[in-house]
Amino acid sequence: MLNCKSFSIVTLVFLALTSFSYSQSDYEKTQKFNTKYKEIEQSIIDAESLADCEELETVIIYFKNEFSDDKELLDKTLYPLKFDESFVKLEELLETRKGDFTQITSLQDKINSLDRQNTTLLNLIDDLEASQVEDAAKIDSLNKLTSQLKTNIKRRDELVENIVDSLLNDYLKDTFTLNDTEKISLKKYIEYNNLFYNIEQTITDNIRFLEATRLQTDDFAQLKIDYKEFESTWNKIGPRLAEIYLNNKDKTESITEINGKFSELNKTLDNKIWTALYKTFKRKDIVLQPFKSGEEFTTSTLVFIEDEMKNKSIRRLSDLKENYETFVDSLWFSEFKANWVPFLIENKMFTVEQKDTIETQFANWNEALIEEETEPNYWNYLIVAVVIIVIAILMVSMFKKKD
Amino acid sequence: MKKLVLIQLTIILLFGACTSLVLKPANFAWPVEAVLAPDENGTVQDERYSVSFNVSQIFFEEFADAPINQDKQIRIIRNTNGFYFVTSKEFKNVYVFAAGDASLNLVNKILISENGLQNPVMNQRAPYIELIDGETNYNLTSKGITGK
Repeated sequence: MLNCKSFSIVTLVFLALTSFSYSQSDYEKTQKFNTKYKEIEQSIIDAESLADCEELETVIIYFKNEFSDDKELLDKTLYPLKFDESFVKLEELLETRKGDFTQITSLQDKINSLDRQNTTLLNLIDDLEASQVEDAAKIDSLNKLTSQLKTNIKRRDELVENIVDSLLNDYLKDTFTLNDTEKISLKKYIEYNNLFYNIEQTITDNIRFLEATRLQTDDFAQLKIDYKEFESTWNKIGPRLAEIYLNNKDKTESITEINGKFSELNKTLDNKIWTALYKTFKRKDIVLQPFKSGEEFTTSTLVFIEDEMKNKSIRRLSDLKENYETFVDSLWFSEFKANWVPFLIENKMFTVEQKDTIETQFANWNEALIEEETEPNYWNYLIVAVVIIVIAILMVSMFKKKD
Repeated sequence: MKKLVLIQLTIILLFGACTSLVLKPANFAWPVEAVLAPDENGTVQDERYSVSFNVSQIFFEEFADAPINQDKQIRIIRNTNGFYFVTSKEFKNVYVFAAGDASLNLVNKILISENGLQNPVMNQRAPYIELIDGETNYNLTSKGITGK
């Protein structure tokens, strides 16, 4: 059964979910914000357990999201603290209250707290994505949530990296084999920090983040760097841990699973990149066959160009020219070559040779269009000839009648 | 010659004393209206902007000899030029005041509705003050309504 405190927190979540700012009055919006803010502040003070505080974390995320569209207004009307500062104060108050229930705020507590926040943010993003509406407000909200989630995931990643770095520096810096005492100490450190779970969870969170969010080329480049660094660190400790846990089946399995997770993470990111590239072309009405690698992209592009050349006789010249200009000028040289190629080549997802192969075809494509432009249009000649013949027949029959 | 110098000195002294210092630009806009309830004497006070004044005269203007209703909240907002716009529920007008010597001086009385406003709210939409009453919006300046 819900106790009184839990009930009031559930009510706060419900209110955060169900109330919308329909009001046209800036004053009322501000008042509504202030009232809710004070309610949450009071709930933090009244919280009776760590569980209450954790529920309030969710309430704060919903509350912030609900009013994020009015941030500009609230920045002016809130006094003395502005919008973001108000939330920093609320989060600090919550952290302090949590401290009252747990004296030891370990790394794991911080990680768990970020985990919960991330799950809430991911659910909010999923809900928004599921809605059929596709307007500026939705895109704006998605961008804000994605940005918040990105910051949270980064913070969580850094905490886990700290554990791994410390492991590397304190225990695995030297290449020689650890003695039994050192091994026991290392195992204790790993258990205490829940290392295997945290690494696996970090990768899983990043996979979910990739699946749930809309990302830009800059984001991909940064994520590639981050993931490479993380994997490289893991590659330094993974084999050593495998040695140490040689006789422990569970741990050996965990290590294998983590290796598998890294592959899954890289594959998910690569898929996301190729899908984003596919959508870049599709946005300009260039529909290529779907691709998931540099090779497939090259094939798909070549097939598209070949089709365009093959169909020249059955399509209007203006359409063919428009497609050529969109593909070559607007997409390939202005966008793809400038923003995508360096990043793809650097990450070994696309080669210079593949790029050259495609670009060689541009010349053939252009040539075909010029040929089409200069080639006499036999259909026109035929139509003119038919018209002349019909007129001639008509005239002859008219003269015959007169005679 | 002496006379000329004397005249010149007099002119310089006179005009020198009249020179005023103007600080520009200045923006007096409140980001959001204040909603204030009058006390038993008809005084309203806003803590954030440190302003207080007596609204008895406006109530008298709107409701003739009816006593001040303490439940009736006054809505007030200041525009970028420094004019105060004051109204309330059931008021027919929006009153525009300029700050004077320990007083607010009426600059304009903008008639909005002969039947009285139902549920007015005011928003800062520089260079206008937006007045919303139900489904009707008005853009106000100190000179009057500039658009709906």
